[in-house]
Formats: sequence, C-alpha cells, structure tokens
Amino acid sequence: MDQENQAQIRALAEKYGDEELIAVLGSADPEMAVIAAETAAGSDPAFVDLFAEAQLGLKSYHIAELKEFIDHQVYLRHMEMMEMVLDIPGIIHEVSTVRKQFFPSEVSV
Amino acid sequence: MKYPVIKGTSYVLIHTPGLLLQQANLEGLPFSHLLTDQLRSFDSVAGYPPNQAFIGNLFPEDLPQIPRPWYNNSLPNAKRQGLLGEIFPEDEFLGLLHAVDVYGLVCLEAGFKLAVSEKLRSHPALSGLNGIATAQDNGCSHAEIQEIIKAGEALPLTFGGRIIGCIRKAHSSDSTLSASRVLENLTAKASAAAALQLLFRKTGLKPQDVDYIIETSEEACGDLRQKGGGSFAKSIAEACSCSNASGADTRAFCAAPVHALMQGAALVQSGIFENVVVVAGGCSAKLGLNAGIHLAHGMPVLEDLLGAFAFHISKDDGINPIVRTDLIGTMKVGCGDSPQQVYSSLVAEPLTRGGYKILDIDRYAAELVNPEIIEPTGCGDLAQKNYKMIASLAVLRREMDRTGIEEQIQRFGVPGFAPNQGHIPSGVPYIGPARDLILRNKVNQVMIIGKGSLFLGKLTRLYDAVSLIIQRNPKQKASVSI
Amino acid sequence: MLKGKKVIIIGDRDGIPAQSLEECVISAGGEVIYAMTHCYV
Repeated sequence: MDQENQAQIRALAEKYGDEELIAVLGSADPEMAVIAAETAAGSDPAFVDLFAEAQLGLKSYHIAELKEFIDHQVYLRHMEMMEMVLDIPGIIHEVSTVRKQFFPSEVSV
Repeated sequence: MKYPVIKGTSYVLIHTPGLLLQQANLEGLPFSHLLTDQLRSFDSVAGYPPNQAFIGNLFPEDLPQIPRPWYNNSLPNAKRQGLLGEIFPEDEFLGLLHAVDVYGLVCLEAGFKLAVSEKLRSHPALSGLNGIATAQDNGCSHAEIQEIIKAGEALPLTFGGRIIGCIRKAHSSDSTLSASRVLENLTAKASAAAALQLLFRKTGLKPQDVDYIIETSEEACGDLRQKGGGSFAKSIAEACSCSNASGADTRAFCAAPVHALMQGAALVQSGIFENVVVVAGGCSAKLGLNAGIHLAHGMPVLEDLLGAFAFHISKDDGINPIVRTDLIGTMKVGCGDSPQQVYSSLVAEPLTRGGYKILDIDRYAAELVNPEIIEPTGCGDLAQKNYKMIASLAVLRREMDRTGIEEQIQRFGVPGFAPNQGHIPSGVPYIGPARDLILRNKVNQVMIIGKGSLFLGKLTRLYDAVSLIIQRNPKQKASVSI
Repeated sequence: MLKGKKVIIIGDRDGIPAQSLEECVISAGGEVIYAMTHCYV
C-alpha cells in the first residue's frame, strides 16, 4: 500500500476509532490478504522502517467473510465467478489469524 | 472482410543495473548503496530462461518445464540474439541514449563514447540509427562530467559502477524537464528506437515505407505548460529515418499497447495507411520496483531490465495472421469493475459476436509478467489469475464443468515471462510467439488482453482492459517459418 | 455486522476491485468512507 493511501487511512482511523471503522478487502489470494490486513492493523511490512510509527489499528475482513450480510443478488453479481477463482478457506483463515493476532478480543464473524 | 495482418514483431531487453541504482538513489531507497557487482551480470541476465523466452529462443509454454527458481537455472549457451529479439548490455544502451539525444543533454566520457560507438556501428540493426552512423561531438572529459554533476546540473550515468557520463537537466527551473525526467523520456525513446531498428532488420520493412507510428509507453514528455504533450512516436520515427512517417502517442497505462494495436489495425483496414508500427520503449522508473523485497528473500534483483517492442501492421498478404478488428473486447464505462462483468465484456462478448466459445481460443495472453519477479510481493502469479477467471467464466456460461478448470488453464494460459515494466508485459509479448505458431499451423487463434490501472492517475476510479484476437490467415495454405 | 459501520475499502485490481466491494458493503448497510484499488505490477 502506498504512503499516500496509508496516510489517508491513518487520518480516518484517528478520526473514527476502531469501534466504528473497519477495512474490507478484495485481495485475490491469502498472502496478499494478510499483507493488506496487517497494513490496516499495524504497519506495512514492505515499509517497516519508514512506517514503524504508523499503527492504523483497523480490523480487516475479506469480502468473502461477509457473504451472509450482503444482499444475495448483489453478492452473486460480483462474487459468483470469484468464488471459483479464490482460495476462500485460505483467505478466511489468514485474515482471521491477523485479526486475532492484532485484536486478541476478536471473535469469529 | 479484409483484415489487417501482423507482419512482423521485435522484442528488446536492455540490462541496466546502473540505471537501476540511479533510480534507487533518486527515490532514496535503502538499497541504493548496493554495489553494482551485487546485481546480475549480463551473462546471467542473458541466460535467464524468461529472458530467452522474451527474445524468442524458447516458447513461453516451455517455461514451466524448467525448474524454479529460474535465476538458478540459467540456460547453457544462451545467446543475446533471438529469433524474435535481442538483449543489449548497458554500455550499448548508454551509447544509444547519446545517439537519440538531439539536444546535447547526454554527455559521455570521450574514451567510453569512442568504444561504445564502435560497438554500435558494427551492430547489424543499430548501425542504421541516426546519430550512430553520423558522428556527433567528441564527448566530455571525466573532470568536465564531475563538474556538471557537482553543480547539480546533471545526474550521473554509470557503467560497471564507474561514472562514465551524465544527463543534464533541459531547463533551469521547469521540473518537467529535470534531469530525471529527461532520463526517463530518453530511455523510452532510445529503447523504442532499438526495437524499431530490430524490426527493420528482422522483417525487411524499410524505414521509408513506414506511414504511421503509434507509441504506447507510459511516459509523458512536454514542458511546464503541456506536461504530456508528446510525441515520442515522431521522435522515434525521426531517429530511425522513417522520413515518410508521422505518428502520435496512445496512453492507457498498461492497456495502451492493445489499444494501439487496435488503432493501428483500424488505420490499415480503413486504407488510411498501409504500414503502421506500434512501438514502446522501457520505463526506468520501474527498475528495481521490488528490489527491497527481492533482497529480503535472498534473491537477485530481477527488475534490472528495460523492455521494448515493435509490431508491424499491414494490409492482408494472404499469409500473416489477421487481427479480427470486428471482435475487439472492451471494458465499457458502465461495466463497472466486477470481475465477472469485466471478463464477460472483455472475453465472452466479442467471442459470442464472432460465433465462438471461450474454449475455442487456443491461447489467452494476459498480464504476462514473469511470476518469479512478482510472487515474492505476495500477489501470486497474475497471468494464471487471469486464466482462472476466464476458465471460471466458461463454467458460469456452462461451456464446461468446474472440474475442468485446471486442465483448461494448462491448455490455453500463456505463462508469464516478461520483465515487470508495466505496459511491456500487457499481453503483447505473446504476439511474436503467436505469429510464429500460427504460421507453423500449430495454433489457430489467440486472444491478447491488456489491462491498465487508470485509477493511479486519480482522475477516475476505473481501470481499463481491452482484448483482440489474432487468427490464422484464412488464405494461408501451408506451414510457413518466420 | 456491517450495519452502521464506517468502511474503508481496499480493492485489488486482479482480485475484487473497489467499486464491486463498495456495492456489496452498501447492500449490507455499511457506509463507505474511503475506497482504493491496488495494482501490484
């Protein structure tokens, strides 16, 4: 994630706090989802030195984790094909692991 | 309908470790202290299997048979020359940079300049380039170059870790003409000119027969008041002695090359021009893009190459593969960015229009970036991801069963093999191999897909994609070798 | 779960991009306050 986007997210995280604010990810695979979730929760592993102070403090959920809350027709329109493409169990496992690591009180969706 | 044909292709790679370090310095990246000898040698770059595929000494389809990591499995006796292209070392590139500079902005040390000019003059393709055949000024002394750099008037140019020249800013205060911008733009021009010269050499197309050039890189040249004015196209035409050509630039991020092929094909089919060239040079700002990640993984820095290509589009000759201008796939504004809608519009819709099914296509070529370069970033193999979407779309459209997805990807998915240079890997590196396979009756039809991240420019949240089909010429009788 | 939440969208050009995620989130009652799409090449 570039510095500009991180700065924007940090500003929003400070404004709203982690009770109200969450991140929703569209990553195509588990590894990328972890990087995005860790970036939103802590700091970007790719810029560790530059952003050590940048604790965004956001919980992330992959869109596939939120299926039951999304209008079924809308979900189908965007995700029917992607359900065949994505490693959904892998993604859900990885993203929820990041949540548990950064937010120990976290319970499953 | 008389379709235009792809009459020839050329592909260029340029090994530029010095430029990579310069880029790292410009960005203040923590690995800029790396010494040149910690980067790859020219021989290891030449023997790197994906590079041999890029210049046509290996089919990309054969790459998966070579064990990974490919950087530990160099091909023995690899040549810099290939059936479809050539790999150039950095000293020759610096000579090229000097040759295509018509404003005296590139200064090379006299001794270095003499040696590299000699190399370029004896090169079968490059000797014809303007500025190489005709002698320019005699070059600068080492002391003069040091002085210009010290005064902040220029950026150093290095070869083998030694400063052998510099590139000056083109304006005292206009940042669009700063030394780093001049370097980016002359890099794009020089590498594109090399690809065009190679196209002439490989196809026999004469410079004076080129009518129109479309340039498709991602650079912007201009000044303060017209930052992206252009035209790279005409400057490349001039450098390559295309005295009867005009041209202009097409921009659409990484999707631009496929847009340009479509435009070039339309210009030929309409009869406006007979010989159109689509060309793009490389991007110095993308050198070492993931170098920090590569080093952290104990890998060599793999983004040490510029890429460039040139394609000749001409009227139907009854032999060469045709461009199906009636079956262009686009990503319309209203289509949004939902993956299944995008792929329906890009892939299924044009195929349906032509009476084809998804599985009728022999090869799909999309985002052909070498997976070894990008996988360490965590983003996976982008080419394969595209093919998985196409195969999944075929399932949704009931063309096949879900269990057949992997098998179909194996059959139709062209593996990634191109350097991570934005517009360079965007589907078009396979046009050369596709033309070869079609002419040899091994393949009938190929879909080339270009995708571009328009949203990076902050004018829109959209991205873009465009597809076109290259097909065996219905008049082609026997197998032809290129 | 999403109802009443403010949401930052992190899309992936080669996965699910921002606009698609946004439509899904809105249908679930979330309020999108920032959306971006990533490109990794």
